[in-house]
Amino acid sequence: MKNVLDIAKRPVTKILMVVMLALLAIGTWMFHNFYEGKIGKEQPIPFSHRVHVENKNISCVVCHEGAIQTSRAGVPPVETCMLCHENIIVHHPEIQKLRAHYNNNDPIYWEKINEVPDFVFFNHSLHTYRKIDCGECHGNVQAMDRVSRVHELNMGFCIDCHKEKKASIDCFTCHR
Amino acid sequence: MLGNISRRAFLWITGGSGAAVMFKPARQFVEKLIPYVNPPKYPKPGEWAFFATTCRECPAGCGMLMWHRDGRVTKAEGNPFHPLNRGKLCIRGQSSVQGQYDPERLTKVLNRQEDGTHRESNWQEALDAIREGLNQARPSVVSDIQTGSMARTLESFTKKFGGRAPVYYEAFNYEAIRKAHQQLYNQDRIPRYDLEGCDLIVSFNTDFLETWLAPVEYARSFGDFHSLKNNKIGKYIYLGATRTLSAANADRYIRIEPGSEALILYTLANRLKERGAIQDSRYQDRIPAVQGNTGLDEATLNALTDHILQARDPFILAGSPSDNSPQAVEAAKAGALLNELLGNQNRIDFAQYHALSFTAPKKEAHEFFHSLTSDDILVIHNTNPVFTEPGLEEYIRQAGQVIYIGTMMNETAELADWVLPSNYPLEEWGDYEPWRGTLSLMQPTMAPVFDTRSAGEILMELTHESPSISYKDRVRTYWQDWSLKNNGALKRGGKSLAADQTKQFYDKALQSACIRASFRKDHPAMQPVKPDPSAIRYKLSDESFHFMLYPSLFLYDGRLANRTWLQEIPHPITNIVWQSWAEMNSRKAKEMGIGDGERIRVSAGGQTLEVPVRLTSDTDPNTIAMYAGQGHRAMGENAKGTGINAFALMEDPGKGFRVNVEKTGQTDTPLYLQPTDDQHERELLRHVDLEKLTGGTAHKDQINWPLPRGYDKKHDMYEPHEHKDHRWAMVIDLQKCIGCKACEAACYAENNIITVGRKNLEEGREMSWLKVTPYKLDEQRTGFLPVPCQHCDNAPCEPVCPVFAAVHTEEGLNAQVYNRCIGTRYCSNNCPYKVRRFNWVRHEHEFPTNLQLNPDVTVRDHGVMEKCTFCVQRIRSVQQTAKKENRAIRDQEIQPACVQTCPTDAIVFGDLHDKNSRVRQLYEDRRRYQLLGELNTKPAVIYLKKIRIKT
Repeated sequence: MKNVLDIAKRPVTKILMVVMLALLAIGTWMFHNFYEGKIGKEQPIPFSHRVHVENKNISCVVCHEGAIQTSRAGVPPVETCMLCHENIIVHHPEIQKLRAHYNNNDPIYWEKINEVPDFVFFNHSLHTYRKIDCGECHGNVQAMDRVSRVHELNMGFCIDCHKEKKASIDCFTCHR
Repeated sequence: MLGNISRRAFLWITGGSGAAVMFKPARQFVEKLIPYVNPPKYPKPGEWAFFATTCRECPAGCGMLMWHRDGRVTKAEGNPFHPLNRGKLCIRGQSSVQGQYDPERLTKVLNRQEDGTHRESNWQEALDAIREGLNQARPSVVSDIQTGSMARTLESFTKKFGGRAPVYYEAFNYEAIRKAHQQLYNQDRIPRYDLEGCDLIVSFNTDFLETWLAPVEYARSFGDFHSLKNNKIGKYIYLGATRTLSAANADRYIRIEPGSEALILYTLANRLKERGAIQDSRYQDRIPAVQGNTGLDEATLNALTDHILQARDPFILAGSPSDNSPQAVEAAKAGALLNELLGNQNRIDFAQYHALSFTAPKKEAHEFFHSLTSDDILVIHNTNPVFTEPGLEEYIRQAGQVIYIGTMMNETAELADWVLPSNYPLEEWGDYEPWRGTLSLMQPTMAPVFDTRSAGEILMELTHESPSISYKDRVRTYWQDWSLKNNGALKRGGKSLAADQTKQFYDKALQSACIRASFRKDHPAMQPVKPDPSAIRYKLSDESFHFMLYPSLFLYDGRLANRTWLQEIPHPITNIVWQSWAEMNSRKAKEMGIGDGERIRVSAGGQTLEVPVRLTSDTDPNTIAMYAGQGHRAMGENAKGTGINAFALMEDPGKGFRVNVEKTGQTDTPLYLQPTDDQHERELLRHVDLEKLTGGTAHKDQINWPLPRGYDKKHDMYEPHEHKDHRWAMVIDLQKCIGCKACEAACYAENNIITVGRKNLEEGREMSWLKVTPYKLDEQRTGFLPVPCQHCDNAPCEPVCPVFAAVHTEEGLNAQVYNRCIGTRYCSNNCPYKVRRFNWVRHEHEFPTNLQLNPDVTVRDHGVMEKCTFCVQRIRSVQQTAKKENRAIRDQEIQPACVQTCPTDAIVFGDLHDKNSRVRQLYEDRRRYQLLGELNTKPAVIYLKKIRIKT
């Protein structure tokens, strides 16, 4: 016991502790300022949007093709993943997990992150047609490893943007 | 309880609940996203897809287009490419999705026990047991009317096991028409009647706007015929025993006693001959000299003769669907003769005969059932003879083994040893040829909801044809054979096309779901047949009554009785819901001391039923009239115990139906959703005389435009609404509306409207957003007033809402925002049209009825006011498509559900800002008026007055 206190009293230890605390503070500060968004829910397969969008430069609509075609952006089917991962990083354990899903015709249960209630009739394709960037609602997804909700997609959020862009704020635009 | 609460407890509760409110509730509704592993190319998730198929709710066989979304169908619409109904659909077709998602559909294989109950079984066990039975006994097959692939399958099944040819049994088999044509033309057929282009229709008890042969097609022709074009309009006279929907639409309704049709027709023929009006002289010496009391006075007979004389192209409709007495046959014969005399040969085509021509005549069907012994295996497919002829039950029980293949439990299925659940027609491959030469294809519009199988597959498995060929293959083969035989599409220079080209044609055929044969019309010469004098001789009734049984507009012969839409939409003439009633002449009832709503005992040949009466002067004094379809003993909960089965009285239809009526003294008033068809001089439904219109003296009513131009400082308290881009509006032509109620059913289907049941309706809690109300114009004429929300520009509902739930949108719609609504009901109180519906009932959308819900429309819960939105989801959908295609919306591109289905195109919807739109043009029509326009509500729904035609 005495020894431990002795060690703690040494000046070197004190300096070390201050440095560590400072590092922790800087790390926290950097995390909040440079790592965008919070960490989202854990997904069944640790798919990283950051890797795919930022590093590999793949556009959103390559996988979420519904976003420019239909009302729903859609979560890509396993088939879409396999388009590339049939040949790329075949041996990674997570990719093998993906392959197993594909081979067994077993769908992946992704965690849902963004949500609008069922009495809101939102159409993705109309917004992309109007050149609204995905990030306006979904945040900076390309910086996220695990996607998290950036904006509470509530009515105020929608209306603010609609007003700013002079879009319709008629009730029947979204509610029927 | 509150009296005993302590101060401390009070603070604890309020503080606790306050804190609870401050916490943000978790707003996660769906937690998992489950995409496909391998997605189908089409349809895309969240997008509509359309599948063409054929309606099998009644034997008319109209084309349907099913709205399909995410693996389920939600709405039936007419197929615009189908030559019969051209995009329109009746109320029965609209209800097909409710039949598909009936929670009480047969879902399990059932095996009948000694005590008469059914136990659950499985397919393997059932098929093994049936196979074993088939090794020992011969099968007999009874089915509803089938043609093409299904007929082939049934035939090959009976042939394989040495049974008799299949019997097609239909309760309404139009036997009188067939018998008449057998005698006159040597053709045991129901020919195709073409109403297009005629200018006078005289109908003798034929309800061609409701169920008669091809109601949607006839309603469409009628809408055309009965509207004013180039100052000309068709006239329509109905002679019948009671005021059915088809009678109510007539310019003149003449009450006649059933059985007098032939005498009236022959009398008319004689008079036409006297006046030298016979257009085709070949047959004029065939007109029998008839005498006797027709029951009509001289003036009426003269008027009828005059009308036929004046008409350029008159047409006679005669022939009962249910009655096959000698009188009814003679009436059909007389009708055919008169049509010959009037030169209507080109309107009656024997080459295109109706599928119902293949049904077994009643006598043959009876012989078939009577001949059943314990050596027989009786296979019943989709038909319910025990309900439509309760006397057949004992004969069916005689069969050694009864196998029922169908979609619903019913009276016949209850007797079956094995009940095999089959796919609903919407889940099924198949074909049907309603009229010879019009082959209508069926394809699955979704995967089966339950563990059911295709009826064709079941039979083919029993005959071991399957799995080497499937029923799907058979449908394709049949289509190919049919096409090669009947039209030239699959041939090039006398040779058939290669397989891959044929496949292309088949894929195309499935998209339109209908192909037509190319062949000539056929109208053979009439045989010299003498009329049957005993059937013409007509004596006014004795003490007993005629019993007239009409196919129901809603339930047809009872097969659709378990559908809540069909039970809850009020009958177009009487407004009765969830009930059976008998129509009786009020004067006659007074003589007998029977009061309105009293139950009478009707008996015939040992059968009795008790039914409440509706007294009306429109019914013949010697007639009791009822609609078929109610009073099921077995079927779903909605059908069971609702109403009375009128078929019970029809033991031997060949004799003509005579019944005795007794008073019971008990009152059991049916539920009328609208107590009266009297307008009480309110002029809700207005009319204009034809002479005034053609003479140019018709007064054009002023309207208050639902636009800023309708604003008048003197009358208006609120500023006018400036509309952005569009101002949606509707025009309803009352001359065209026939009150068929297809729009109401379409509205239920499109907008997730709940049904509330009889008890709630008694308390006035109906939910229908659109109501078609009959009003009498005078003794002769009835009009129908469809009332959706009027989307007023000066809406009385809007300013009274304390929470701004009733708001005027920027495109002129009167919106109800369900999330804001707190259910004060002030708006409904203030609405002069009473089109707002408060939802009193918590309705669980249980499986599988939830699959029918339209995902584009919010599902409302109780405590919320709801109302017509002009189908805003369809407006938005078209707007979004137009926006993406970078173009303007085309006129009439937006079709709300009611507009889409209306068989007569009575409703027009469009943009009032577009100067060239049809709606805008009709706003300037001479017949325009606004419903309760004097209240200055400035409704956006404009009505066009009904035209009164002197007859």
